[in-house]
Amino acid sequence: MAFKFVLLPTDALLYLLVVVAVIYGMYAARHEHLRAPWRQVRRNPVAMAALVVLAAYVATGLLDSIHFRMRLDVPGAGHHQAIYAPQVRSVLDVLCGPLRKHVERTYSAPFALRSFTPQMVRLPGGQRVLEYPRLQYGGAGIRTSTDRARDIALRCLRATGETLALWVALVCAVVWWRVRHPGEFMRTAFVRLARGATDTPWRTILVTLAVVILLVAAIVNLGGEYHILGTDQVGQDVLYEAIKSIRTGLVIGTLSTLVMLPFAVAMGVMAGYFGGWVDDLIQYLYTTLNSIPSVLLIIAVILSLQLYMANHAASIDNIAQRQDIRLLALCVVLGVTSWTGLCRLLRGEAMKLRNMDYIQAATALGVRSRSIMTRHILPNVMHIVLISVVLDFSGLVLAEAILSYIGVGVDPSMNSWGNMINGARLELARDPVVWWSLAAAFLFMVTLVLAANLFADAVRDAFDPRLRTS
Amino acid sequence: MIRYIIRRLLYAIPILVGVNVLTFALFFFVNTPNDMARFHLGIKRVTPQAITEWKIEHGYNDPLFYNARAPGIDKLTRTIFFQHSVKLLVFDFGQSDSGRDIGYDIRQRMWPSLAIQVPTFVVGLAVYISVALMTVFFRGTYLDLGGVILAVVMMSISMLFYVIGGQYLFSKVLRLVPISGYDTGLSAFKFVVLPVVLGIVSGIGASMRLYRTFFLEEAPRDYVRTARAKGLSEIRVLFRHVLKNAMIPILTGVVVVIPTLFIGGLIMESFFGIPGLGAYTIDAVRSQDFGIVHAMVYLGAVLYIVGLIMTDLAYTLVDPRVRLE
Amino acid sequence: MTALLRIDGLKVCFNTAGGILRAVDGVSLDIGQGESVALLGESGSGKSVAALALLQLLPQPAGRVVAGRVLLGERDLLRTPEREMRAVRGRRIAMIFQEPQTSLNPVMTVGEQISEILPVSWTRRKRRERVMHWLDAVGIGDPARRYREYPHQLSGGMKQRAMIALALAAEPELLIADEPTTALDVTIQAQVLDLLKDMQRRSGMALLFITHDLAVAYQVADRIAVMYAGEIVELASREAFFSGARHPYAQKLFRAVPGRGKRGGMLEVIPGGVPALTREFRGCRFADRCDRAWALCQTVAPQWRMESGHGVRCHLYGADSGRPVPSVTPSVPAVVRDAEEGVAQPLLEVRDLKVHFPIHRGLLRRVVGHVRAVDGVSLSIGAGRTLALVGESGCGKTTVGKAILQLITPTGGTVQFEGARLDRMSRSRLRPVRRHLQVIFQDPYASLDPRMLISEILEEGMRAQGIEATAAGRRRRVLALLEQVGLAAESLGCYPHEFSGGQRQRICIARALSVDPRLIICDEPTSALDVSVQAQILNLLRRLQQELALSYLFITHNLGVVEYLAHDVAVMYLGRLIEAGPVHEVLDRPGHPYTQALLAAVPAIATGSSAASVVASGAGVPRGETPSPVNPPPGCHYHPRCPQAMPKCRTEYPGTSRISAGHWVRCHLFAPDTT
Repeated sequence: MAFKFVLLPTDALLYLLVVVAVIYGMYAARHEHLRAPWRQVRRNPVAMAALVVLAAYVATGLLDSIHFRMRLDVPGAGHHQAIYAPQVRSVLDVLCGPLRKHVERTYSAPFALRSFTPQMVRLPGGQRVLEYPRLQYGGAGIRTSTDRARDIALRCLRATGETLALWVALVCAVVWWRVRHPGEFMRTAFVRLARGATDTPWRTILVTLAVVILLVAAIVNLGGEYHILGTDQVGQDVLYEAIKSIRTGLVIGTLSTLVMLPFAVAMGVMAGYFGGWVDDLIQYLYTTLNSIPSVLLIIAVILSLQLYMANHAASIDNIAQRQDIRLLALCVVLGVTSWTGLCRLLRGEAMKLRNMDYIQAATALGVRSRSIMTRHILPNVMHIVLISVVLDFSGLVLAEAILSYIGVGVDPSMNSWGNMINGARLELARDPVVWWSLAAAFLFMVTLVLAANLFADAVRDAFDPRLRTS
Repeated sequence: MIRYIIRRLLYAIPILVGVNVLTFALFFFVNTPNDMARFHLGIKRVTPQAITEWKIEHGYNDPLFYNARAPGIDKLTRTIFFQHSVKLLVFDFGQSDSGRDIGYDIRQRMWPSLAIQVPTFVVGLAVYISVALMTVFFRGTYLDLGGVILAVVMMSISMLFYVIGGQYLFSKVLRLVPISGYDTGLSAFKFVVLPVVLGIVSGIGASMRLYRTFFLEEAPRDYVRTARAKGLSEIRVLFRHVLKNAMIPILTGVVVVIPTLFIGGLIMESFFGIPGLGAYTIDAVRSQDFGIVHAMVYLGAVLYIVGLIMTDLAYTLVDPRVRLE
Repeated sequence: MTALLRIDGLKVCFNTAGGILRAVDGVSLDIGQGESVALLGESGSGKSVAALALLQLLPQPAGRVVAGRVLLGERDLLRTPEREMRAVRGRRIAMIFQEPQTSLNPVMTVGEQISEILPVSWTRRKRRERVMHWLDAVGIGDPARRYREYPHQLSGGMKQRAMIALALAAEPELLIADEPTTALDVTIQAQVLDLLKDMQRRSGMALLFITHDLAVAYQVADRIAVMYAGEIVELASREAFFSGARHPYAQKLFRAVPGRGKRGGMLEVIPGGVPALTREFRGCRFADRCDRAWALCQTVAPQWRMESGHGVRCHLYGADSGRPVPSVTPSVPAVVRDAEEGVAQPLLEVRDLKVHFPIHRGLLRRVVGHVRAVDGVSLSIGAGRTLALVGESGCGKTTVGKAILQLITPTGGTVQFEGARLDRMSRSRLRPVRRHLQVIFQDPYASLDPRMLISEILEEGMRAQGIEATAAGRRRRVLALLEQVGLAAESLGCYPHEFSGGQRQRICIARALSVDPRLIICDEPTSALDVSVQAQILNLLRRLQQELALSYLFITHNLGVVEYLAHDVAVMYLGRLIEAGPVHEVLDRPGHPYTQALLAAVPAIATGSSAASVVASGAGVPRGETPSPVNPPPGCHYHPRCPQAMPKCRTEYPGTSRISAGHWVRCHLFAPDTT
């Protein structure tokens, strides 16, 4: 084999998450009380546009979660002893090959041909001159800035053309798919689509898709030749960093709530249903955890973990592993600080449900407590769990940036928006300003968080508009 | 009332004990004092002797729970648990790993923190409530819609960008206020104003939306209909009836944070070079000073519990149905 | 009589998820000066919406007026701008609502809320005095104290009095009362009705009284307007209406009300339910439920016909119908035989049942007192018999039911079912016994799990009890159950929200029956339902009793239902039984003053020609309200409200006095048993 598959812990959890999501989807499709609210979400144009954006992020994140180590061609190594590269790569790394490999010496502005910082160059005559050296990769075949403008325009034009072709194909596919239903005609279907008169807001979805495809096409066409968003201090392409940070954001946003979820649900439901000493104990547990301000708790745990890892450095074999353990630890800590809210919410709901007539009727029929909890209470609180998962997502993505800034976030060597901001912040003092790292992190974060917020709102409105979540 | 507060404080004891046990486990069980010493001395060139010296110097030399060699009651008191955790219960914070008196530092540094946090909190609350009330008053109009969209966009932007952008614009480009620093007395104003404004602006999206839902939840209630049926004006219904009822959920979320204002804002203080407790904590993180972090965690828990008690007291002010007992 | 308010062709629509709902569809009605008009209708008939529309108080933005005029004098209220409406609301037309609990602002004092309606130009002192005057006028004692109090410090009846004071304070020309007594107990209802009538007489204002209760309408109104599915279908003076209602719907309503006269027979039912107002109507809206409808009714909407002040919207009275007006002959219901009386062996035997809820206080949650929800109740039910447990809200009757079912652990006393002590059983031993005792709750919306299919709901008990091991067997049985309660087999694949209240209650009955119970505890199973649907459920319960020899413990506050369904009756007051006996004995010759008061407080319709004989409700209505069970009065619990209280009543709880075989009472007016 030319590569060796590597399964990082967070990868495994992400795959598990995908499986859970698929199972939930199948379950929801068969249950009207879940299908109806999702149908409402599906009809909401804003939510669907947000979903397209989220899907683009998720696809990127998942591509970045299939990890492997390439086999090295070491002369003399036998067939049985394959040697693999120490670096762990992902599918995304391969797809973004040029972005990853085009490393300059240091800062360069977006689309720049020359370095941002001057360098002492020795001329052939032995004279030393301070000049802005040409970039090694950025606009390598371009001479002047007019050439560059033409080249960029041409590439953009091609990207637009490709987008258009793909998009038209997509539109046709959608229309064809809709026309399968008897009694519909191609023409009317097109007209309905164009007018936005379809049940699912296909027009909005397709327009959003067009924007997404256009951006991808632009990156594909321009990314190999230029540094679209410049390079950072060590010459790494900023766009590549921002794209690689997507996975970090997604992992933190989803796994943090999910690692503690079974725990929070079980505790909350049990406390509410049984009451008495069970309730007292669980309440004590979460009041105690809750009483430590979450930032301080995270600081304490991460510091302690840093120390632990420093002392047990030997057992961790490569950098990707180290980054991943730290990432997972951060998720767990964030989960620990956020499960209490959900647990309290579920406890309250379970207490209310316990006294509902239908639960009393089930008790009177002789149904066991365990059955009552799983068959009656759990399905009736699941919407709260769902809402809290989607609502927490954006907050967690934002938290990552802050924590990384404080120094208790993800591993400093890992790609994350927080680390990008942290690195770029110090460069604001330069004149002229190095703004592109910040801008890149800003764009990528705002897009994700905004989409997540809009989608979460739609989900909450559909499932329980009255649920109060702060 | 006094009796109620005393009782609530007594309830707090088991929680504080729990917090203590938790942090103790985190700081001294996961990593032993030996690990800590090795870490601080640098992993490579440590001798057992250096470790022992470091531990003696920082008071980590005793056994964890039970000191068999000490006489009498000292068997229990000359332990790490007693010296580093039990003493916290009486607010004896001890020394930081760099040898400073933590209690003194906290007393010195809480004032700059308060100078930022109190105005941010008070003005912020007023701004959030008025903005939310305004959107509710104009609900169904474009003003409301625009406000809500703006709120979602604003809450999607990380606080870091507000701070970086604000600092860049007002301090560097416009040069209205100094970039960072702090001063005592009235001259603190020019240092304080930008962090306060940025703190308020960065919270406006989330808070306004939340308060808006509180108001909207009250709007369809029966008593509101009664008030309208009385012939009261919309403004009067909103301010006299809806606001008073919506204050109950607002206070639940708000009062509990008042005591924790002491701890300061990590981000603001570190960006603007304000010598408060937030910056203190961040410095401790950067220098990996466990003593300070331990003290701050405990202080945070105490203040949170005080916040909970204050929330209960605040309820009695806004909700006549709640009586302490 | 000059019309004070003239409603002309009012139409109100709501935008709902299911389409446009025409809640009010062309209502015209005049209200004269000082006149009182009752707007009578079942839930969903549009009566409350019509009232809210008059004051432009429809819920926004869903509701809107699409047509019509509402003239108050010369002014059309529907076209009056919001600013000017404020001068009308409260000052010229005031309104009181159904739920006194939620209609007052919980965080403002009663005084503040009432004084808000008075002119701002008045001095604070003048307003205060006026508020106190009105508080006093509506019978709230100690107005100076009440002025400063918050709504939660007032009892339910007090709150409604405060609402009335609020409405009357600005001396309006018209008072709209939207089901003001529906949420109240009968004794309090009687007090509030008296107060309203008294106030109206004194001030000469007009009254628009919205109600679903025929008898209440009879008590307060000069004229009655019956609403059905968004339309007024009949309008007549009280005398004319109660001596000869014309519309088949109104006639049927009369016969659906349970009462003693209907004992032994089935109640007349109106099949089906009120139609959804989102649909288009072509013919008469009642045609589908009317047993006198013919082809014309299905195709042509009947015109409004007015004849000497008695209006009706029905083809039966149309000149164009070509069909003679048939004589109003009530269809004779099949007479059914009652269970054999007096021979039954007790199936359930409850002795001295006590349920005390501890009140915890202090650091260690010391118990500082008890809510004595049930305080020594003894009763027994024979096989195939129905015992009605009657009492007002808060008397502990629901707790008795739950304690018998062991859903609440009793504090004391014994519960024996067929000789076995339920209260001594462990959870696991109790489980198989539970199949014999089942329960039906009051709220059909809360008693079915919204996330379960009907088939799952009905099979749950069978699975738990191990009845019918195979899926096919369970399915057969479920189908049989559905047929038994009168539901279609297709219901199995539906969720509860697809059913109306009455249908849900049928599902609840089927669920109870699924485990072959001997005894069913019915906790107010019909009080959340409309009269016409209530009759269907009562008939079903009665039929099932005869077919399956079931016993019922029927918990209710509705004496009419008791008269219709029960064999025996036990009256409960503040946690204790105060009188019990065979139903005809207790209701015909009530011994205890409280039982007498309960009976007197029920609004009655004196049918027949002697329409003037309004039942003198004031005489027997008890003063005040039920005290708290935390701190019951010493001696006889009832003495503070009892008109016949003696010194002895204040100190000593009365023992049991036997009036006749099986009829006993606990009151000092009777000689105690010497045993």
